Formats: sequence, C-alpha cells, structure tokens
Amino acid sequence: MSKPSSDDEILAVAREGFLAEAQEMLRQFEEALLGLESAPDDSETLNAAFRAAHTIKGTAGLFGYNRVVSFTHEAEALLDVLRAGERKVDEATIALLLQSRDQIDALLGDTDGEQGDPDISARSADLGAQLRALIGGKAPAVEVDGAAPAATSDDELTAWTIEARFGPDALRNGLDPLSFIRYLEKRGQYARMRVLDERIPDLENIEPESCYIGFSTEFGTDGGRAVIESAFEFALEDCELKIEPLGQQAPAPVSAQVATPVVAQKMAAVAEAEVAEPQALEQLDRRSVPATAVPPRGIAARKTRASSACRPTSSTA
Amino acid sequence: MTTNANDLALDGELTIYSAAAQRDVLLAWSLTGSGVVDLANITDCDSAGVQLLLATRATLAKDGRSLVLRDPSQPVREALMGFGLTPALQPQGEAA
Repeated sequence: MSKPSSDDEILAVAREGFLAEAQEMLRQFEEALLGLESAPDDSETLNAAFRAAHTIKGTAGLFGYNRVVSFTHEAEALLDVLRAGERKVDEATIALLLQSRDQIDALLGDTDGEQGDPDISARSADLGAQLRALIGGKAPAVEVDGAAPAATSDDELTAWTIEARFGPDALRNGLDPLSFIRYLEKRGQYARMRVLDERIPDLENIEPESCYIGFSTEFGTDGGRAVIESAFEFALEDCELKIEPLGQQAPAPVSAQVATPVVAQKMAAVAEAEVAEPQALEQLDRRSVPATAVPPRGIAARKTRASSACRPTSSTA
Repeated sequence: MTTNANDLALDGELTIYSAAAQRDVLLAWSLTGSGVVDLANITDCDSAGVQLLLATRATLAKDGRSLVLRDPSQPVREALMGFGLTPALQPQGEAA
C-alpha cells in the first residue's frame, strides 16, 4: 500500500528543508553571540540565541538526529542558565558557545549511521563537559537513546496545529473530513477543534454533494508530524493542509521549555503509518459513495501522485 | 419544546447519499418554517449532513431566524461533536 520510494522522497525533501533552516538558525545563533560580546546584558539577544538553539534541537529531534539533539541541548542548557541570571555572560562563555555553534554545524553534516564520526563525537563529549562545567552541573544531559528518566508523558507529546480545508470533490471521491478527524483521534489528542464553515453557502446555493467544510484543531501526538501527514497522504489533492508546530513561535518561560520531540523518530513513524494507513482507506471504503462517483483505481492513482507532487505546507518555526 | 405545524421532522440519513433530497426538503421548508428541525430519527450523519445543517442555519439567519435542532440522534450528535460543535451548533467550550 505504501510507496517506499515516495516516502523516501518526501523525507529527502524535508531533510533538505531542515538543513537549510538549521543553517539560518546557526547564523542567527552566531549573530546573537557576537552581539553579546558588546552587550552582555541584552536579554533580547540572549533570547534570540536561545530560540535559535531550541529550534535546531526541536527539529533535529523530529528527524531522529539524536547526536544533534544531545549536544544542542547542552548549549541550550547553558543559555538557559544565563537567561535566568544564574551566571554572567563573559568572554569565556561566549567563546565556548561559538565553539558549540561550530560543533552543531559539524554534527549536522554527520547525521548518518548510529555512531557518527568518532572525532566529531569526541569533540561533542569534550565541549559538552565544558558546557556542563560552566552550568555547574545544573542541567543533566537529555537522554535520547534510552528511557528519558526526567521525561513525563507530556514531554513526549508533540503539539501541532492542523488546518484542513477540503476541495469540492472530496465527498464525491469518498473522502469525508469526519473520517480524518476520527482516524487521527485514535492517534493523539485534540484541543479546540473548530469547524471551518466560511465556505458553506446557504441552502439555495449549496451543491449538497460538494464539499465546503473543513476543520482546524490543536493536536498532540507522540508520533510527530509524520502521524498527521500520513493520515492525509492519500487525500492531498482534495485537501489544503497546514500543519504547524504549536507554540514554537513564542517560547514559553524558561521553566516550561520542554516539548522537545525526542521520541519522534521520523522513520519509525513512517513505518507505523504503513500499518495504519489501510485502516483509513477501509474506513472510507466501508461507506463508499456510489460506484459511479469513485472509480476504484481513483484513490490508488491519486495516492501515487499526491505522495510525490503535493506535500503539506511545511513550517519553518 | 412544543411541536408546531411549521416544524420539520427529518428522517433517514443525513449523508452524501441523501444530501440532495434532504436539501430540497430543507429549502422548501425554510421559506416558511419555524426554524425547528427534529432530528430524532436520523440514522446516519456525515460531513455532507453537517454542512447541510450549517447551510440551513445560514439561510435562516438571512432574515433573522435561528435554527434549532430538536432531539438530535446519536449519529448527528457524534458528527457535530467531531467538528467541535454542540447540538446547538455552537463551538464546544474551551477546556482551559
């Protein structure tokens, strides 16, 4: 049912997007650090550096780049201590953070395989120890490979906003927005579900078999974005889909900085989707529309094209 | 709620299969109807049904009338709930 090559393509494009975004974040990170040299007490600049690191860490987690996540977490932890005023920004601190920036860059180029380049890993360990020394042992390293001892179940949830508007032919093609809502319901938690009804005409003008309805919602899932994307994968031609990370635009106060999607192993989620997807189709088939409306090969053909041609709006938060 | 001659009782499905026929019934009724639609006997409801109810509300709202869903059956309530709507077609309360 799934198309491995298409999944790979989607992943490749998504990775490229991530790497481009990460470079931009690294640029902002460096710019902020250089700004701190002349204005060590500027909290806005400090926040900018923190946000950049936080964004890199969060997105790297989505792709399962655990070495990037672990190391960036250590740099972020030091920034956190600085933000809290528990340590002064001085030259040595800035120098170490600049070295950390280069190290994150190196790790981004070394994401293949389980172990990674031994020299780069050794450097991570060395810089990590220096970062922890400055923190004074305040922030324990985040565990990415085994069980995360400090993590609560809330930490493992990744929160998203979803906006789905369906095209006029969706219902005729057997794609009922409610089926998507119910399918996702089993894979996460909704909050603030809202109907999008602004396109629905009045009775006089409505074509009752055309689709005008959509929905927006917040959605928490431990499977990452892939859970959402896979649910809509075969419907993208009949659906405008927006998926955005919830709340990353405005980082919460220091103590509430969690929500790192450590568990969101993208590959694992895609594998899970391969099992889950037929259920969605079956769900729709069970109440399939009259035979004239849905040529049996319609869904299959659409799915193939949708996988490669139409990707959901990707976010850069 | 007392029953009025201008109330409408729908039965059967409110789905893509029946939406065209139900729309004709609703449109004819909307000209002079009370605004009260009894949905106790609706056996199934999908997105086509929900949007038809919202279209009915839009039609009635044009001359200041409101749509009241009387006794919506379980399938109707579940479909509305899926879209975050109460049986009164209002957004469900936001849990803090």
